[in-house]
Amino acid sequence: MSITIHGNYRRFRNIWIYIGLSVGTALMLFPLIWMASISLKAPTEVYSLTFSLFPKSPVWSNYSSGWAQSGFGDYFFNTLLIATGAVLCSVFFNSMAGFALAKYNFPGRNAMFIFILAALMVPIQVKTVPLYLLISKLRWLDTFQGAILPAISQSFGVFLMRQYCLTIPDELLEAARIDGCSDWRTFWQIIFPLCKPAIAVNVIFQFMWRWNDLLWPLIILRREEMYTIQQGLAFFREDPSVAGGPIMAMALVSITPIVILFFALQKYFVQGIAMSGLKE
Amino acid sequence: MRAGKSIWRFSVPYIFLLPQIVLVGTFSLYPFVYNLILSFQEYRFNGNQFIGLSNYTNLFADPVFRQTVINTCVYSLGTVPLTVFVALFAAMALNQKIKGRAFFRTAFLLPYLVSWVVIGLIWQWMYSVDYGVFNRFMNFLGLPSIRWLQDPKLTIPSIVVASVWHDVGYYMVIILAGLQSISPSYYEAAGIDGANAWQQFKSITLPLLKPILFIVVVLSVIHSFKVFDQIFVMTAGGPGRASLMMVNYIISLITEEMRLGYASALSMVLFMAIFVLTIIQRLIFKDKDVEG
Repeated sequence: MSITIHGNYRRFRNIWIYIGLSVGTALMLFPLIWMASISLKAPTEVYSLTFSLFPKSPVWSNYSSGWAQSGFGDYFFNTLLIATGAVLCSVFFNSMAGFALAKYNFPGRNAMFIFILAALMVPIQVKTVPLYLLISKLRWLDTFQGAILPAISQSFGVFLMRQYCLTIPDELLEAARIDGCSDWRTFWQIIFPLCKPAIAVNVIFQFMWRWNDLLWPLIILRREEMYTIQQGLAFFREDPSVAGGPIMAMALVSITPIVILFFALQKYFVQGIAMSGLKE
Repeated sequence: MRAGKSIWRFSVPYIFLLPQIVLVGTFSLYPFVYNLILSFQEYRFNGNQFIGLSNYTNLFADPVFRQTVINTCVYSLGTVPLTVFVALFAAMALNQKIKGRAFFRTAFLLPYLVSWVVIGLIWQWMYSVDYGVFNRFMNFLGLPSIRWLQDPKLTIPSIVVASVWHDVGYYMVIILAGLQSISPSYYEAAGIDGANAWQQFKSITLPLLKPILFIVVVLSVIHSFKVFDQIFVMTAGGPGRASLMMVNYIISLITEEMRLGYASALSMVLFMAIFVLTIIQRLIFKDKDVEG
């Protein structure tokens, strides 16, 4: 008797939860669907006073004309290079640092850990002026290294790798050492493969941050052929040659690499976010 | 030979740490210290001049600065409570045993993947006075069109809505992780004692979730102080300076006016605000660690 009452109550409550979640989902997805809709509309339909979610006849040429005009191909390539470079460098350097901090005992270890963690306290918004002066003194304005290196100096990944390396048993490293395995091979062939989950978290976040970044490229990439995709979208959004359908098409193209990476590594992405509340 | 080998062994961890230390030193801590020094100087091409606290005194007399501080606080007061409330509700709904949880979670998380530039593009369109969906809806209800982004009173609230939409999924995932760490046995015991859903929320969920909720609030306040991109794309700080934020002001001082010393002083003020919040967050986190 009490079980059926409980069951009915649960079913009743679940219906409300479903309704709430469905409305929420519709609100979350609508702007993205709307973007896709505009990306396929002809100008007459974009600048129309009636609401229509589905374009009357999809204008696929918005994608090709958006890509061909205003150099979006270049911007896409530049961003891919910057994001990939940043991911490779930071995954590599962060893992090395995290491994050393977790698995070696040496004078100054805590000081170095604090030194690295302190970088987390200084967001890029707070050091733009000196970074700009430094980069221009190095003659790195409008270069890829200028876009990549300052961006990967924050230490999110070191912290992540250190925490993960701490869970790897010391006996494993001891066994490797007795077998005559060098420190570098221990890192590269034992630790690195074992840290895959932490590396996956680092990869997806670094890639997303670099891909979506506007502020730093805005300051140091001034020549048009060096623009990133975000700069391209920001500067050409009102350009009559691409405004409306084509720019929305490019906006949609610009989010596809992140969405693909997200669906490939979704589990790690969610873990990474959850950690920022629990562990950071 | 043996000595050489032991020096090598000793230096192994330092070699592993070297690249990261160089990166952090060159591109994080050196700029930070330089920023502090610059904030007491006037930047000139032929050598900077030390001007004491003038940048700071000018800053506090600058009506534009005051306006950006007010705007940033208003933005923060709008986004933080809204984001945390919606994220809490969504997380609690997703913490139930229902079908399709993964789908709903993904849907709520998708906007977080999208860059602020793209979000600015979409929402600017949706807010468009003549062609935007919001005004289509207003007209459909028989109401007049609204100048969402062009009306100085509405521009920050309109941007707040877009920001909440972007951030909710992120904080929802953090809160959900917190909810899942609460042992179900508490709820079972409360259920046997006849506690209803509201009583369970009030006396189990909320107290146990408090540390996480606090971290979420601090994280989102810090995040909201750094707001830049969506303003840059959606309003460029306008109309007038109605939506000009602190970071937008810093960037325009650098890229348009080349007043670098002044911009550094402004960065230091922003840093102090973020620093205090980060310290609070660390302290709270330490407490949580001690409690286990």
